[in-house]
Amino acid sequence: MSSSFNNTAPGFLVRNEFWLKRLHSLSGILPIGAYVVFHFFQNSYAQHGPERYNEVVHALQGIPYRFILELGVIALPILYHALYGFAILRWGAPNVRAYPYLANWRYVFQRLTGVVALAYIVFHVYRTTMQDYLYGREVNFQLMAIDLSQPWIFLCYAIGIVCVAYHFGNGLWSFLITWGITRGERAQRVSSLICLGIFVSMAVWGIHILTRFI
Amino acid sequence: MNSGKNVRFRIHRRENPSAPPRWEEFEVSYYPGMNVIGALMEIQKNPATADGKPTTPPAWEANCLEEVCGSCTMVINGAVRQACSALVVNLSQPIELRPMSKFPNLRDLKVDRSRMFEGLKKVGAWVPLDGTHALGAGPKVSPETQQKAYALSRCMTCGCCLEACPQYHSRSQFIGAAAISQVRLFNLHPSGAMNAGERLEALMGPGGVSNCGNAQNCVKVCPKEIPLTTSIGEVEWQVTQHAIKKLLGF
Repeated sequence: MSSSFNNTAPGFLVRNEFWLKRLHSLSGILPIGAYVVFHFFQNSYAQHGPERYNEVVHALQGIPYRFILELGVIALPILYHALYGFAILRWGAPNVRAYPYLANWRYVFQRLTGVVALAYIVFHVYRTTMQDYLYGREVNFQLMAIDLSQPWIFLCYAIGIVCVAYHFGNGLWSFLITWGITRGERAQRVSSLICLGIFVSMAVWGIHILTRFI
Repeated sequence: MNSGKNVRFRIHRRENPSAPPRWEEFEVSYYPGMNVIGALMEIQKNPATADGKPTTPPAWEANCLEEVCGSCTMVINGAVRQACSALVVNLSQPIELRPMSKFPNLRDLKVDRSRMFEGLKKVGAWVPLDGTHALGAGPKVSPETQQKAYALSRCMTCGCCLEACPQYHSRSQFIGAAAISQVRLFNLHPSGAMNAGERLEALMGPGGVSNCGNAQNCVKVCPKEIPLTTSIGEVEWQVTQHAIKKLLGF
């Protein structure tokens, strides 16, 4: 009897999917997730006023190996996570209409927020870091304040931050299963509550930071 | 519901694997305790549609009629389950019967679940004990392990977990929750554990455990209440350990 297996030679993505998937899972937490937390923390200096904020930003801009670090710790991991994310997206066939369970909805939201978060990150990097690299414009409190005073940009940032927070929180829950750390039904339920807490806290924290610029 | 009252069915029909699908409506006279298989048997006695047109009797598979063989699995009113344990009295009408969508449809409600069997072969879901000489008694199994294994051994390869899985379809090679859970079962067995590495190796290959998207529909729809998501987590841990050992060369 013919089976549904595809018997043609598997491509690179299929042959190496175990390691690629584990790398995708890991990269979401380290370095990307860790960087997001650090980035939120560093931007929280906005509440100490423009001068203090600019000092912190200036100090960060002057760190040694800045370009290599930005590339290796931030840009490339995000690029990999996004590209492989699109591959994962292609292999899924969501079915929430037939099976409207909570975890199934979270599966859909994880994919949806990933796409929105990527669009937001591209937009955000263009409005900030790239302004420096492309036009030599100084990235500081004033630049952020001008941008965020426009309601549509503020809205884009708020939506982007909520999606990033969800993708990180729910992704952490998924990470714990993917590496076999949470196994039992109870462990997965407790970790889902903790990760829900992380999502909500990150979303509130991020939006709070935004309001400190206006 | 009273005896003699008519029950309405809407049934997916297909002459052969390459024929286009179509729908037909049927009416059967209710009797107490009627299940979907019973209704299909009534239709078989007098194969005519609800408006009286003669037709071929719908084809379906069934065997045990007590929800332990899995062969009568189909999609009933949008939910995947066994037709034998689906009581007509609990279903809203017209009762819609469809074949599972994740396997090739052979005819009407019959599907070809070879892919599930291929999956079990791929992971070596058995304890290999072939030989011409007596091997003696096997190692003892603790009651605790027996309890765990019993829950997993109830899998009847029905396909519900795969029908509900958004990662399992004709374009993906995913092996699915059932086979992953069988790897846990046979790795749990002291003799089966001797081949644990081979099974984990199979699950690290194309279509392996990394295809899981954690939608967790499998555990919700499993008629045997097998802790499939725990099995996936447990096997992920075994695979993690195996992968690290392999990576570092011990």
